[in-house]
Amino acid sequence: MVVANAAVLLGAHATLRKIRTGVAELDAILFLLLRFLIIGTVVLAAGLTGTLRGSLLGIAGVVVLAILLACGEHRRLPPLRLPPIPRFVGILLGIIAVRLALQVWWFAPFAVDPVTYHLPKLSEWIREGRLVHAIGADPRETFPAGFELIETWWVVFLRHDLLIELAGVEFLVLGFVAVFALARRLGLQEPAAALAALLYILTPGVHLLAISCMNDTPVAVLIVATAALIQGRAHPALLLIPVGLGIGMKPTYAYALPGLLILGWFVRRAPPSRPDSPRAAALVAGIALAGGAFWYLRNAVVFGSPIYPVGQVSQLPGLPPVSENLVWAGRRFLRLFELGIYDRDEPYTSLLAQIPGWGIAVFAMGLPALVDRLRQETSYRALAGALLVSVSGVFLMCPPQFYVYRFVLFVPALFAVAIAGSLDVHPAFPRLARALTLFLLLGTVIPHDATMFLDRMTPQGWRERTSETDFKDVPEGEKVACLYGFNSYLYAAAAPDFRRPLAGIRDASTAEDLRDQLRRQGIRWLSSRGDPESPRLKSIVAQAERAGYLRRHGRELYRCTTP
Amino acid sequence: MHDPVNDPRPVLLRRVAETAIAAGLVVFRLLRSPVEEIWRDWMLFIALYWILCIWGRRGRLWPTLTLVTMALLASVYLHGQLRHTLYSLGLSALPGVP
Repeated sequence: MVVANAAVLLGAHATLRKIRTGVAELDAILFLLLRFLIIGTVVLAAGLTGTLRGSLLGIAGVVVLAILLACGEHRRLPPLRLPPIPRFVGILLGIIAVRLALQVWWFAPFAVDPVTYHLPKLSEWIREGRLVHAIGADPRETFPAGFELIETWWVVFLRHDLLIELAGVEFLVLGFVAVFALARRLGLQEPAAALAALLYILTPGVHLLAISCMNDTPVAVLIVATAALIQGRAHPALLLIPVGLGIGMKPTYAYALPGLLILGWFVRRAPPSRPDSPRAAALVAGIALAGGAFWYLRNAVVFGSPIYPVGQVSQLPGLPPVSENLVWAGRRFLRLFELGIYDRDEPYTSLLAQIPGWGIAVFAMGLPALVDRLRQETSYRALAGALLVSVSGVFLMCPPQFYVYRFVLFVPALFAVAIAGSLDVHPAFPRLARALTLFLLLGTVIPHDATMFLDRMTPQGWRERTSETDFKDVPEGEKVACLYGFNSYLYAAAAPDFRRPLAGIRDASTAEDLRDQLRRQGIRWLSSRGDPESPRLKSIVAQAERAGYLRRHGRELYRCTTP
Repeated sequence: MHDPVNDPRPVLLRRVAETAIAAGLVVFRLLRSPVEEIWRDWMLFIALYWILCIWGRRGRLWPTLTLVTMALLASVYLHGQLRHTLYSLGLSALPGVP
């Protein structure tokens, strides 16, 4: 794992040498984007060719590293130059780094979306050593999985999910660099830009989702990174790198694109930053776009629709008519402004169902600071207008029943930059900003929905650590299925070391039909937890229990009695 | 002769337009916000602060006023979220009971 990561880092730098802009902050963003692109491409290629094994990737890493070293790439690494950041920011970054290490160590995947539909398929990828298109457990498992590719990188070598949260942590680093670059492009000095970046990565929603295996922080950070590259007038080919990565992670990135296009139009007269080799930049952009488009093409070819199964199952309805959705978007804005932004309706969770999780800095300092910046600076007006269009795009394109706050976690970046841009107005402002930062530090210790699993996670050794222990009696290698639908928490059956195959039961007409399906698929255990797509399925399970085909082995876990 | 660079009219026009929007926001909040919620209505605070920014000079008083606005908003935020944060950290037994 160490060697493969070294190869990726050196490879990312070798590629960066071809496409760099010469602007340090923008090149730092590009370097991190290239790292994600290389990892995603390698895991995707390995998954498609059936070579997704830690040993094979490790050997490939050794070979690539040897070639890069033989070519003298390590001699072309630039000397590490850290920008002059304030001591307070440096100390806080140190504390955050140590705390992130502990969070990665202690947390097992717990958030409902990852354990229900992001990670069960990842588990099957690792077990099978290849990309499995669908296991039939959840309608959402065919959604774009670009972030899961990065998560796979962090589990494939150990064949264990101990370090899986590092994928999100990497995006938090990109978030810091992207906001720093954005602030610099808006005219802030390096110390103020560093404070803006710190405020952004300490935004409760951004920070807590990054350590919860959720893909919303990565997507938000990619939007901010794109905005920073646009603000720096990077070459269009370079802009397509985060676009490909973002679309491959979640369609919400595409919903935010109109705002980013408007931002590009606003800054069209600024001096452009050209890559050393536009041709190399175009090639890299092509790879990024192909990786992003892969999931939609796969769905179109395998399932018949690029956005399968949206509109084809009751739990994932399509968009209502535009006129209706316009009303919904208006209500969402009103709810965000009148209720959500106070963050008072619930604790910070990984789902951000009722609150946006933008935190105290945005609310207390960000709002007045933004009013002042908008009045004084055209560049802030352009950025704010563009992000408002992006938020409108997200609100308009998400069906009314979706929780949308976590899809707009790029907004706090604007407030963070506005706060840092106002620091010289009054000598008390930096002190207030530092005080609020400490409160943010307190609010980003643990997502509230993780607290209920802590009693189970912390006493376990790292080898056994899982958030759920419902499946501890299930022997290794025995296949476990859930009922096709939402909230099955199926990943718990495979965690932490992908020891059990996973499957799903889509529907059954009778208890005997269910028995036959279980027998055919070699399923030994059935979990009835969650909300199945088929309304009759739970009663069929009860009938199968009464008929003796299933024996209850827990509150919602059954052992199949028929061989 | 007309001097477009030093013409004060565009500045005045902009100020009036901004004030109209901010005053509209004040009226909107007064009409829409329940009476018991007015004391913590951030849009009302920001609209009033905006009007002061438009017409007040950026002198000694303005930064202090900004600081007071920020402190007020911080207390409103803490009033809503602090109990939840303490609850999540195990520092209070129930949400709403610090």
